[in-house]
Amino acid sequence: MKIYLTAAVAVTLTAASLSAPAKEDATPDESKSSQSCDAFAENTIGRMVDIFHNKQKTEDQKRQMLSDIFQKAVDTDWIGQFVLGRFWKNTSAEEQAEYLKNYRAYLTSVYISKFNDEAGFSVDAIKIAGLKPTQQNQYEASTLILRKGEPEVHVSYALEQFPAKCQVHDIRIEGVSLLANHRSEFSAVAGNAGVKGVIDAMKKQLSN
Amino acid sequence: MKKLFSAALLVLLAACASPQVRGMDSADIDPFDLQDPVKPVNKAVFRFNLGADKHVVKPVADTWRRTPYWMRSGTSNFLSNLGEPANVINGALQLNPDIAFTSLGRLMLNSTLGIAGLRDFAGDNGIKSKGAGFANTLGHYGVRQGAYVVLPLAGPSTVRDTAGLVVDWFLDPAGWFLTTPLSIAQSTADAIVAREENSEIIEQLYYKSLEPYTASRAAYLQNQAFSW
Repeated sequence: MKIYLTAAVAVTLTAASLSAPAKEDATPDESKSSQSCDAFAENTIGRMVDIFHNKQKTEDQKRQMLSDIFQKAVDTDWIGQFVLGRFWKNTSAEEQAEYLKNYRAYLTSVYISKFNDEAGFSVDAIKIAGLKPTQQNQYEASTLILRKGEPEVHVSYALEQFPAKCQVHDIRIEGVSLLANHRSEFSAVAGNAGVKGVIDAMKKQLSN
Repeated sequence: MKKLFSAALLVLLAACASPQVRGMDSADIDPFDLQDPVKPVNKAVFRFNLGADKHVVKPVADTWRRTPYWMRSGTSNFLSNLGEPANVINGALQLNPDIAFTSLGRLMLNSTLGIAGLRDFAGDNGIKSKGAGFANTLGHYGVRQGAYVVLPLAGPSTVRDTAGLVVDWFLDPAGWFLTTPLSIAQSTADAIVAREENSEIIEQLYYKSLEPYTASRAAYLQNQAFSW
């Protein structure tokens, strides 16, 4: 569905505000944490729509902007380790580094590479449906992608507040969790071919 | 005879039992495996579907995508309009007047002012579709999803969703009047339109994921849980 691509771009642009200056508190309390991640959510809308509607940038430029923002804002290392599950701890440091490097590129390509205005999709507005705390220093931001003539798309982000930044730890598009999906996939591949098999599979996808 | 029956029942139950992997704790078990008791069969059907998609369905859908937008839009609207009677009936079965009357209103508006359903006149004027298949009705009355199944050509489903599909097929008014070849043509058109409209997600799951079977299964089951 185009919602997947639309939401993917929305994720990236939402993540844009994660690279905004953040507080340097060593131990953020709940109210400050709420404002930091809340600022992240609120700051995104204008930037998201701006990038979408920026006619002065080529598709490649937009794609690069989105990739840069995505990699800064989404905690790909944490997600990469999580989705590998039990296979992570039995992997050498070198293989872990190689895995994370490839995972970062793979995850970025999954969400960014298909961004193509020729696909004819548009985002009319992104509405912040809510931001609620889930655990200490963790929040869930719910958004709705609104497009004329198309059903709205529910996208939610699991956010974690760190001393210097707020990062995305999971993305759920119409209920489909990035973490759950990748963990299921990667477990299947690693179970048959080990972490090397996962790395090789990602490299193969990246080369396609 | 009783022993034979009991044995058969035990075999059947065992076939549907959740798989347990020895030597692994619960954290190592893929939760989606628990809803996939006939995984070997599902994987075989999935491989067939993948081949059919790559060699037949995708090329046709890609060709369809190159047709003018008005043609694709009109076809999609027409086929959707044919599904509204089923929405009306299911809305009534669920004792949900919002679904029933909205769907009835859409059917009437689109069939007339929408020129036989070619234009989504109702949707353009704020009356959005409230799709309610028989699977929704079953869920409304507490019937659980059941096991994950992969249907030939149709793709991911569950036991409940499959039952819903069958009933919806009978509720389709076009099927009451069309000959068998035309019914097949309608189903084929439905499939091609759906494939084209969902091309991004299908591309991602079938061709860009590391393990297409598990990716499709996880995505489908999560989305179904979310939708309910």
